Amino acid sequence: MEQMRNMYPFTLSLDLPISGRHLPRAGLPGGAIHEFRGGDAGAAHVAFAVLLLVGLPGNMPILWVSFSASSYPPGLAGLGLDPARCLFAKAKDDAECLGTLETALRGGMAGVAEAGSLSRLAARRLALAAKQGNGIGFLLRHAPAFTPLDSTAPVTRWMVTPVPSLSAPRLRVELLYAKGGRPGVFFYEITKEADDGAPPALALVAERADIAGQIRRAG
Amino acid sequence: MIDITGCAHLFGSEMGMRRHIENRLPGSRSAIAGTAAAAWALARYGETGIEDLDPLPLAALRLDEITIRKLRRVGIRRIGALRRLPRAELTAGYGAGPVHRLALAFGEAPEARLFISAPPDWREIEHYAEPIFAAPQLQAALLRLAPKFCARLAAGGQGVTQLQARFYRIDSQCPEFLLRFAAPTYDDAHIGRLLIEKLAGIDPGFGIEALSLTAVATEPYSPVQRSTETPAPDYRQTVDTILNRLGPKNFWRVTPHASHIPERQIRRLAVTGKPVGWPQPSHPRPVQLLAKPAAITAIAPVPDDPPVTFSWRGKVHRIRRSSGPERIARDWWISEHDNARPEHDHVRDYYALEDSTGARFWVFRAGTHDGIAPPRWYLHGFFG
Repeated sequence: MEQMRNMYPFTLSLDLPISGRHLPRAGLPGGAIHEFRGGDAGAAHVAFAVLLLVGLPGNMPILWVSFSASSYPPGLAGLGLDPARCLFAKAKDDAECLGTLETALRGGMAGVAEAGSLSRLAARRLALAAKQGNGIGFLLRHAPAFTPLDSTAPVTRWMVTPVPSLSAPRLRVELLYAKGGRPGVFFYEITKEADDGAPPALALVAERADIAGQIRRAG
Repeated sequence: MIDITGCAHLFGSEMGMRRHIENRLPGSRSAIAGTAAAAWALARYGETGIEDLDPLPLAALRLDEITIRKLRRVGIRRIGALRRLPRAELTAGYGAGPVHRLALAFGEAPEARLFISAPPDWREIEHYAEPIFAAPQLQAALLRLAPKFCARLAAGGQGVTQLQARFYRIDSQCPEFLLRFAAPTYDDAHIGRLLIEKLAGIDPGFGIEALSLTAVATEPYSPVQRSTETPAPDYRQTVDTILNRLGPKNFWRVTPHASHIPERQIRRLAVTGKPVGWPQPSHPRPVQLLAKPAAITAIAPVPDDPPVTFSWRGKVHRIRRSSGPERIARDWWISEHDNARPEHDHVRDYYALEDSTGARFWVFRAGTHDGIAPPRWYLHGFFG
């Protein structure tokens, strides 16, 4: 355990019920990359990643890189992430997008890339860069839950899809893979900004970890 | 007076160089001639494009007033007339002045001029006896120049913020590139790395005979000693690397802008700029915004209800929950009417929709039901 604590410089905490079981560090560790998938269209995975990034330590700059430049700063501000912390980059293709993310991670920044495809080699390179530079990398992809190119280079892999909401927007968050943890399915609500100025946050509303058949397993 | 010996080919020709200079100095008169005296005369008394000195008045030779008056009395008003006179008689009658001036104008006598030396600039140049073109040679040359350049900057207490590298090719082409820095620096290892990365875009052609590094912009810079106990992470070098790889157009910060039109609420800022904190939006805003609103077909009850269904990219979305409308009017006081933009009628009504699967969209209706054109629906963004 002591060794693990040295391996990762910081952790983005996430409220999970039996977090020790699903995420050994009770959150998303820094010095690593994490992958968020979000079906065909929509931005549920983006919102989930943004709400996690709010917990970044200190004044670590965040690099947003994509080849469509679609993230909308007022929307980020609405979720509690100050766009003034962010640097935005537009790449001309996937390779340049991932290359830029690798440079940022090696320099110790937090990086968010909206990538199309991700080869095993690219994922491994990004993971190494994040480990060397103590950065944290988020990959946002429109991809199905399982692809033939999945690797264990990202420390966690998530599938985030929207579900019909009751009062606040609700997300179905599936932990597809976690290093040293178990997959699970969770339901989160994005709480609105409170009257006392508390920013929007993720609130766990239900967990479906133990229902047989709910968890998809690779291979 | 500019001595352009051997420079004109950099601008194509003498005419090209003259045009180049005249464009920078509007309203000026200029002339190019073989001698300094002739250029002086043509620039002040000549007509554009004519290089003949003969029709110019005597004053163009910089003769003194008395001599000019004496010469005019015997009917000599132009340089051409003066040239036809025998030199010996001219000297006997009017002194050495006129003959000497003529000789200067036609290049028969040397003229010593004192030129202003260029102001000290941050420039390092290397010339090669044999042209070089191999990548390792060029890399080695850049790595030789960078420390020299940085040592001079450091001695002068300056840091470079924009650095130009020029490669003078033997076929008189001059490819160049510009490095930009997020903060002033004279770190030669860092600059060398960036130079070598940019070198790939340079075509050496038949060879490069000289290579120069010039600081286009510098700022006073003295490195501060950082605490040894808890060193604050330094992201500037990473930012520099990305900035030079993607270019300043593709790498930016954002700052809020006072507008109600969603796509105009952000202003791009250079990465070196100082961003200000963002206010919380007063209405819910999507995390992703389409660069251009996508036209959708929607079925909505009139006059102001949100859509019941809409289809986008061939997929039908049945709306389960909605909120709105939020009316945003065109900023007519800024821009002229533009038919290319969706709102002919200057009004957009925004709705936040949630379809039966839970996906959340931001759509707007351009125009109203009683407007000039029938209302049109557009998808503009995605909520989380």
